[in-house]
Amino acid sequence: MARVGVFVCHCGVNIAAKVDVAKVAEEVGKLPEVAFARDYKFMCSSPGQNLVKEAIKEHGLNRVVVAACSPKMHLPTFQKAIAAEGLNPYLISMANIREQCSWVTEDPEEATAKALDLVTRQVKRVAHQDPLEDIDVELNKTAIVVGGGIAGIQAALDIADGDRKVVLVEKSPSLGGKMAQLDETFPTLDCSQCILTPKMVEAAKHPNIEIRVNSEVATLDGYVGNFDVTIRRRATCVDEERCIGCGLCQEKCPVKNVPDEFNAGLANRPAIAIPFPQAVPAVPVIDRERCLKLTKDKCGACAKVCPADAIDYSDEGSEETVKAGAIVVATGYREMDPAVYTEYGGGTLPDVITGLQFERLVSSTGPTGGHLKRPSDGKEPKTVVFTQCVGSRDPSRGHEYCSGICCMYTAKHAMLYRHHVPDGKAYVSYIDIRSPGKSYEQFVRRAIEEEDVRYLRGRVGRIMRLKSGKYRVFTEDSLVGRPVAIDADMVVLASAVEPQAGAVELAQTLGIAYDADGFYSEAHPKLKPVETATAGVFLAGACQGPKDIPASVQQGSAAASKVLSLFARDTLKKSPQVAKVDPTACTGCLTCSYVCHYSAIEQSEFAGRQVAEVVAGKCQGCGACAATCKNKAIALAQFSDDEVFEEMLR
Amino acid sequence: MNEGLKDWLAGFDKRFAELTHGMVKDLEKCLQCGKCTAQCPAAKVSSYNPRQIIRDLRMGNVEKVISSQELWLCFFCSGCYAVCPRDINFPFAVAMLRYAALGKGHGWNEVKQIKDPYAQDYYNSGLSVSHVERNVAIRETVAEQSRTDGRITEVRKRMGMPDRVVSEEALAEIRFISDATGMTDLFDKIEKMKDVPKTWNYGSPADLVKIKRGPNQKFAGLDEEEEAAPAGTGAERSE
Amino acid sequence: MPRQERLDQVKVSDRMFMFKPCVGENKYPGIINSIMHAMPRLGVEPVESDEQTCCGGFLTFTNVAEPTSTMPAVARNVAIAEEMGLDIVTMCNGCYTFLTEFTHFMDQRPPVKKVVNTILSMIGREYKGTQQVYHAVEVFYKLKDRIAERAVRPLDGMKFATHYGCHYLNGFKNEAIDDAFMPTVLEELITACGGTPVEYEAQRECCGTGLTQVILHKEEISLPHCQRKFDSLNEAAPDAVVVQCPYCLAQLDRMQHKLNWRKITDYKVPVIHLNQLVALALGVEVEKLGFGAHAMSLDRFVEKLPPLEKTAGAREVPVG
Repeated sequence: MARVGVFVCHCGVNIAAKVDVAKVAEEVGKLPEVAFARDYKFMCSSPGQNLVKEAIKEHGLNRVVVAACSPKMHLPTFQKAIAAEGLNPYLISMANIREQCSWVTEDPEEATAKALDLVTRQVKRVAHQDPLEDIDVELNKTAIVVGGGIAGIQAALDIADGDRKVVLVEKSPSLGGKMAQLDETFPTLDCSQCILTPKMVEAAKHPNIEIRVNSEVATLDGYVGNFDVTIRRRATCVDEERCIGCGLCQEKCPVKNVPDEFNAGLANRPAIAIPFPQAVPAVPVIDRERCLKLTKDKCGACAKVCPADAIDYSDEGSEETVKAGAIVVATGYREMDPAVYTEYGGGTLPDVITGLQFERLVSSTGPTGGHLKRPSDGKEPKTVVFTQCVGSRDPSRGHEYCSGICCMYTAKHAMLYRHHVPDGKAYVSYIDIRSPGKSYEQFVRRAIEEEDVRYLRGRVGRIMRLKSGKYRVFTEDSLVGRPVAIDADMVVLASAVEPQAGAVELAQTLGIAYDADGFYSEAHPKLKPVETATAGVFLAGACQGPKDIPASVQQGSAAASKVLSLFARDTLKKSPQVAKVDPTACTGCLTCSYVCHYSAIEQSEFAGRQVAEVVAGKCQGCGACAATCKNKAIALAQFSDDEVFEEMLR
Repeated sequence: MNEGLKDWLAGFDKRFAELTHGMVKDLEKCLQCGKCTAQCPAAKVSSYNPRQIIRDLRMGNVEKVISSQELWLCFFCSGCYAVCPRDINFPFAVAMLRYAALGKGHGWNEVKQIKDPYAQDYYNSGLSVSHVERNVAIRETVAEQSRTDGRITEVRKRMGMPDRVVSEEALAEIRFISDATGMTDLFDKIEKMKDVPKTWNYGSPADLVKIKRGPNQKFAGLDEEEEAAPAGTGAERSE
Repeated sequence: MPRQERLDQVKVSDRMFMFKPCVGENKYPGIINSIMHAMPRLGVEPVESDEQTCCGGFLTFTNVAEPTSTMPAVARNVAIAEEMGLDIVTMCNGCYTFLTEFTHFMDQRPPVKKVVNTILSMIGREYKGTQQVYHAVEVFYKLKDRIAERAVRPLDGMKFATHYGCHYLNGFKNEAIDDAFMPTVLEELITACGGTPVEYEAQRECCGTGLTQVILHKEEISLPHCQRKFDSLNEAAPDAVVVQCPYCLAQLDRMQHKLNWRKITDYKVPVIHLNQLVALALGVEVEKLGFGAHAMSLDRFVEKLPPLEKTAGAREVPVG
């Protein structure tokens, strides 16, 4: 027998100015289910909550309805209050007579009538609500970080320093990501590798971090706290344990013309190679398509010279399933290939290069030993045009968004160029300058005021190769209002930041959302930047959207803090508003599993036949399954037929 | 109040839409990036500047645009459209703006020079280009090379081509269309309209690039080279 | 790089309507005669009609006639071909632009199409929108291999520069048969005809006709622009430059001639239309190509031509 207590809030004048709250309380008090009803000025205040508690004691209430603001505001407040009095926190319901009544109705009579109606419905409904217990989910306190760039490294280090185990999975042969390819970083012009490699080494040596390079996540099953992650290592033919990183193999390898990914295609490498001198781990990988032994069963030089007997041509790769409680996705970005811009030569002009390629040219570990030389003839370029917004801010053939880092790295490139070639002329063609970070504006002004970089406001319209081997760059000085043509020796295109190759497939593997551009979706654009809509999967770095190194590091640490909070307790408490299958009514058609967005319904067995079963730990209580089931065999807690009909059908 | 902003505040889109019958409505997408002007052939030889024109329109300086000489210098090459990251069809906007300019009296001189002889030839013969060659130098060259009297009708005969004559029925049809849709009336109007002088609003004649290797615009022999055919006489069928 | 999607849409029928351009008819009739003789050798019967008039687009964009007048005129021209059930082949960037744009405009706006057809009904015609409009470059490119096979006069040793013009590639930047900035279809056709394509810096520059600039502002706008193109073209010294538009042809031909006449230059590159190139390679006699009408003499070019490989020049290939 329900004994409902109803508390109608004034909310100051927010409700009371429109709704006659005293009348509502009086009328509701006449309902048979209602044992007690009153109005009060501020229900969410301490005295307000005390009223509820006392009423429970005095009147033996076994259900409570608070008519006030949106449950999103204060339901947890009242749940705690009634729980303190020993009443199950799921035996309460709120009637929203503010956002859905007093704030949206003009006429006080109408508002009062509506409020009464809303409260009555909740009274009828709450009588059918059953007590529920929070679900305890066990969790595994290992984290997987996918991606070994600076964001992933930071996340891994922070989680590991928090005394939790991390498996750091990296697709390429070494940690480091894009930052390892950079020469100097803005705004300090620090040597990129010098600040990065200590972190790479720290990650490699950390007792709580297990590094798996040449590896990818193949499948992800399970749910927050209980993921099963299959990691696939591709065949490298080099035993990491045995290899001592001496590099003899790559010296002796006869195949020398494999395009070097680390040098952005500007140089070649052998078929067996360590990606760059500071690689962590410094273990080479054999390129299966180019190795003579693997393709034609010839050569075998590397195995012969290896002092550590680390070459194993029979390596087929391997797979392993690891259990984890949380995933941090930090897979980074890719630089757009500007070949689609045929007005810039469509990728056929050798001295029209991208930002990353420029980094490699000025890097001392690059293909020209850090001397700035034209790829076409090795001569030093005396006039360089740096052109911004190639592929960004271009819905027609590129991306609508701004890539965020190019204004800064272009200013950097122009200054590096001037340092390398003091008598050279540097031009930057821009539409706007975006320099929001700390010391960023000053950095750009330094390029303009102190380093004689000539900034022209106007996007490059055409690049034409001249017979002389120079390039005529057509742009406009829009602040003057005249077209300008510059004959340059080299052109650097600030090419857009794009999601990594395979980003969409990985998102589908991990069960996370991505936006129209292919970047991974955060749970809330303002307030939840490192969480996804999938519990237990977090984001860090450029895979979530274009960003610079400081922002990537921030997100790495933020994601780590989310993981450490998750791992702080031994079990996870989960809301019990989940679906449940009645196996006696279930026909096993599994239609519910197809509509479940959270992969929370599995196939199971009952009395020798196939039925559906809800994995309570994964269920988010959306109710799609309950709405879909033709047999009404699946019900959502707190949304049983009785509860829903009482609320709706009056 | 700042003069330059006045028109804009008064409602740019409406004014511009009125001027162009609502046909040009994507100019707000312009990023002012300058790619158009960067590659524009007319911009290289004059003060014509497509990006600047869009800027002026957006800021409400419509008078400046439609009273300008520069508006009539567009090549219609569509290079701007080809490079534009917002796919703005600027040549189309220019065509519409020229109608707007005509409405204010600017550009009738230009239009007269197209009406005679081209539009008139179209009405009279169905083809916008008459078989009459008015350029003496060309006529002489063709005569020499084709070993005819230089008339294109003879050149055609030599190749075994029939005379190109648009049938009388077809001419009646196109004249009907012209009369019924106001084209004929427009031709009459063009005859009568007085041109309101345009001004160089984005630069000056000093921005025009001279032909190389010529000291000035008039060349010795220029008068012998071209015979001035009296304008407005329509197609001359006899020679 | 040619666009496969557009290439797939181009369908060559055994009878097609040749849309004759005005500048072609009365200034460079060889453009028309050459395609009339070339098409049969490729298995296409070229159909023409003297009822067809100027496309009407030129008058529109020069503001002497409003679209309300010229759209019915364009629709009428297309209706002529429709009545015969034939797809249209244009050989001028301008004709292609106007026929395509105006028909698309009408197809996408039924009320406009209705008004146009009301006018057309009074002259006993109707525009239905059943036929396709192609540019000759699209049709020839689709038949590229056939041209190579049937070339009885492969143009060995002849060097050709190309000038695509602007309207077709730029105006249809996403739909044309090739990319606006790095096109190769004309070069590929030259190779199919046995010739050698030659590069020059100003290859993608506009010819400078500028629709009306050559009429209204010749001295101050059109000539200064194209002089640079001519300098670059002559430096590359091809045997001829191939164009796909009669307006471009007129400009490149007559303006080189004019500057030479004034004795300030000594330009040497003659200009031919794609139709004439293909006709040559397919063995159509030189006399039929109307070279006499070209201001820049083609005498040296003709002398350099290789002889016909097979005898009996006018070999009509059976249709199909």
